[in-house]
Amino acid sequence: MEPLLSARGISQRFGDRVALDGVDLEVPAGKVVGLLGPNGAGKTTLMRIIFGVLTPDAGTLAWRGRAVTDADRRQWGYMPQERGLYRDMRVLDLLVWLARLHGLTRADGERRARELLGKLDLGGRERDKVSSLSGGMAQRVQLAGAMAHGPDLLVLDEPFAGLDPVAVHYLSEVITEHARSGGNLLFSSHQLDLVEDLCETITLVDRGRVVLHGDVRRLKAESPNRWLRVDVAVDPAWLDPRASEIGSSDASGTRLRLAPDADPGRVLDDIRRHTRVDDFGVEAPSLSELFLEATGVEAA
Amino acid sequence: MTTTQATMLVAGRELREAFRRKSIWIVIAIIFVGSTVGMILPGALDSGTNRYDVAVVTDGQAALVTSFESALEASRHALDADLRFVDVETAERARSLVDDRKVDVAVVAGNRPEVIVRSGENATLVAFVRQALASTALQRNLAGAGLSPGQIANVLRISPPRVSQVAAGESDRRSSAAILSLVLYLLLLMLMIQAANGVAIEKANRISEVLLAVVRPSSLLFGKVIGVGIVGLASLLAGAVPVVVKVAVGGDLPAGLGPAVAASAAWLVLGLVLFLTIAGALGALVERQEETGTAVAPLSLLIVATYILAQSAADQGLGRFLSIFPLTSPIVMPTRIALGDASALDIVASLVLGVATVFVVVRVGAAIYRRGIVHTGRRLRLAEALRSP
Repeated sequence: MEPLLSARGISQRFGDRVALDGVDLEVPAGKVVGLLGPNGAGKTTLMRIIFGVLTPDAGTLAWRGRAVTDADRRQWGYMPQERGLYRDMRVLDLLVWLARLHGLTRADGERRARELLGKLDLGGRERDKVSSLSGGMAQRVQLAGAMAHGPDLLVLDEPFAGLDPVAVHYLSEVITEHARSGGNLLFSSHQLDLVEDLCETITLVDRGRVVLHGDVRRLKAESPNRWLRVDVAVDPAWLDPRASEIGSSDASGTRLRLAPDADPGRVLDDIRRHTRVDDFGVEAPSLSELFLEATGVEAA
Repeated sequence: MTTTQATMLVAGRELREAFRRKSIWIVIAIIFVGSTVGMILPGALDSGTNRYDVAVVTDGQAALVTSFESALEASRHALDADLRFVDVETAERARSLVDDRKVDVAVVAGNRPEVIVRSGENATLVAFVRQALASTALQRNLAGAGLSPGQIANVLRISPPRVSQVAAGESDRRSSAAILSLVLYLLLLMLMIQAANGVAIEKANRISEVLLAVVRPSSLLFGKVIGVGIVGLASLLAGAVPVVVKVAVGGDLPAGLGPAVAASAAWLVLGLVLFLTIAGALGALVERQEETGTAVAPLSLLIVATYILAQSAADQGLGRFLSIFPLTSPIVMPTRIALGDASALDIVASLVLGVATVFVVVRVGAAIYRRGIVHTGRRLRLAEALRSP
């Protein structure tokens, strides 16, 4: 199936520094895509290129299979990494104005802005100046600004940076609801463990290059660092060596390293044929571990 | 959405937010009050100085006195002043009134009339008094020769000349020029810094990134130029209202002010487009708002130097050059028009060059802005911005 947004071979240099080196990125329809990597990996540069703020040295961008136009971009919503709001403006005025820049009428913009402010628990702050809001509130206004026109694609650059755990949870809810209602979403983050549960598809970048990409469940299933933990001692003869091997064993039980793509249920069944298992669990690698794996391979 | 619509939305926001700030209303109020005072004050001060008190010694010469007073009254318009006659009994009393500055001049009518005046003062009034006395004597002699009052009136129907004080007009012109160049200088300097600061703030707080994802860089720049520029024109309008009202109620303007105000509006528009576009582009080169002053320093220096030169050399060859050179003409040309020094050729040349420069500056300014606004890290130098693809 053709991705909604695709970036192919994007390269960007700033003087002698290579920010992006032939990066590919895809946003499939109806998916939450995480563009992940450490600070300085090139995530923000790629997002700025997607929004036409920067023109890449090389590479192409396509939306629904054809070259991206300014009109396409006006239908997207963008929340940059460093929050950008007019601090002297009133909240409602700012949101209506942003919606109008995206092509909405004043009336539609106001209706949509009030609706979003209500959803984001900012009802009653419409006439307040942005400068009077707390950091978390301003963050929500920024998100409302990106969503004010009902975007085809929502792009959030480091949406969780600098937020306290409550605000992170709140923002995660909004993102999840946006995705659940059929919205398309691309976000970047360097806090890999924080966004573990949000991403369906990821692209991991490091030093301007893609080191891993794909469906999160699939990537985890294919990882060589997946473990099955059982509360019994396991005889290696019980196991299919193509599916698993014993990693460690002690009084509390055994940890079995699962082969890439192995079915943990079948491995468990192999053990249960010989002994009773009361407690077990699959330990899949975290996104951080996937990243370390990927960069480790890269380094080798 | 077209580029024009986006530009207008950006300009509309600038205007709305500018007029929500108290500072702009304070500036407008100061300009309005200053202009109003400028229109009213000269008249108010004139009403005290343009009245002459004339002591007349009656001493049984009632008919003669009446005739003299009528003759002097007839010169009131030419004298451009009100007259108040004070009847006194004796010449001594009249002399002491002049001595004490209670009256400006005293007249002893009779066969050998006498005019009493403080030495070196009221020369114009004395000239008219002497003419009125001569006219009275002539009237009496003609009556003695048998002419009827109608014939005498015909003989004496000569309009006295109006005294036009050239130096006073010149002074008015210089005042008008000084006021206008000061207003243009302050407005351009203030608005230019406002435009540069606005762009720098948008870049520093990254709102420009949100906006550049939706609108073209040129819409952002020219929306700001238009918005800030209209605020400037509104300020000038506040200053022009008292002038227009004074003209509408039949008042006289100081010499040179009318044409100069009209010229100011035209050159202010030119100046606003030129300086605000350059300032906006320079504001896009900085990384932090604090660096704006340094970035626009050359432009500020140019405006300050132009203002100083406009005060000292507007009526010289250098002034002529500066009134035609596009980056200095917005301040100098209205000054020269107020002084009455600008020829039609100078005015046309200045306008044509100004408009041509606007086209160049708009293109170059938009390119610098486009490159600067997306640049992060250290401050981008102007040469680098011009070299970038």
